[in-house]
Amino acid sequence: MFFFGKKEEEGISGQLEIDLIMSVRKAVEKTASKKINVKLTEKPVIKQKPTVMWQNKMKVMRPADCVFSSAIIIERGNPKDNGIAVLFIPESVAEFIATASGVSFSEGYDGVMRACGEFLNEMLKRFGTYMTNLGYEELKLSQPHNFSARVDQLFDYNRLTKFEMTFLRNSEKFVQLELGIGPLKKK
Amino acid sequence: MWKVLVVDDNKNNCDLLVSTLDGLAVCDVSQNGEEGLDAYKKSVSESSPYDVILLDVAMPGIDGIEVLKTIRNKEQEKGVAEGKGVPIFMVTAHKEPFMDAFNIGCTEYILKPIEPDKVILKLKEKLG
Repeated sequence: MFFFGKKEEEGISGQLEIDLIMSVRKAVEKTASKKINVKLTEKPVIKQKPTVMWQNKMKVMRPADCVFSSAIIIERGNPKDNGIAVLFIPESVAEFIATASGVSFSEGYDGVMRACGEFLNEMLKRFGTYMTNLGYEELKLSQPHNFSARVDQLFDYNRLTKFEMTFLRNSEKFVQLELGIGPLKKK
Repeated sequence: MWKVLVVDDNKNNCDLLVSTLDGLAVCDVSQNGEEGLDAYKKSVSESSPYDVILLDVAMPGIDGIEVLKTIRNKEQEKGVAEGKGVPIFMVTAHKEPFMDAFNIGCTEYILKPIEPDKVILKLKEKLG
């Protein structure tokens, strides 16, 4: 998920948020093409959904069909303008990514998770480059926080709505991103 | 040189986009959705398609979202694969239709006021 500080609560505010979504799209599609030779020709589907709050924190829940979930903290100059990104990968796609990345069968579950992590890192690198090229040079991306072993995870961000972005391959879910965009709740 | 169709009911915006692309593109200008669709259809029928369409959203008559939907439907009817149709950059002052435009298949979404450098950057990234 991306949560960025902004003044408005409803709708997508400003070019930054649009550029984030478009850059994520390009980064996922390019990484799928370059790293595992998958052409994501179907346009991803984006939906706006309400967020789930728990103990004044946002609860991010791993979809039931996904085995990989990883979050990235993003800073944009002012610490209050932090964001966070979460990528979910379905089990069948995770196995495919591992195979396409050359992970051997003997490496088992750990190998699958490592391959997904490498996919995510490559995607993030591209995403960062796209955003920098668009002039958002102040963006800093953290190391991924993998919470694949948990069903849910709480984050220190408050947002009424989020954006769910689903990438498709042969009409099946390929990867899913949840995009939430500001404002942040002060602790 | 790119072949570009600019569709915007505001002449000042059309002029700004055309001057932004001076030296990079040959631009046709349509000042409403109907004219824009006619120009698109003519370019297809003459086998001289546009490299990109810069499309305003809020226009009297057929708005930009309808124009986008019509073009994508026509491409689908002709068997054009998703993502292989003419790139359409929505250029608009309105952020609300973004999700609709995204799900219909816009290529880029640029909010006004127009930043010429960013428009050129995104065009170069897409068109090379």
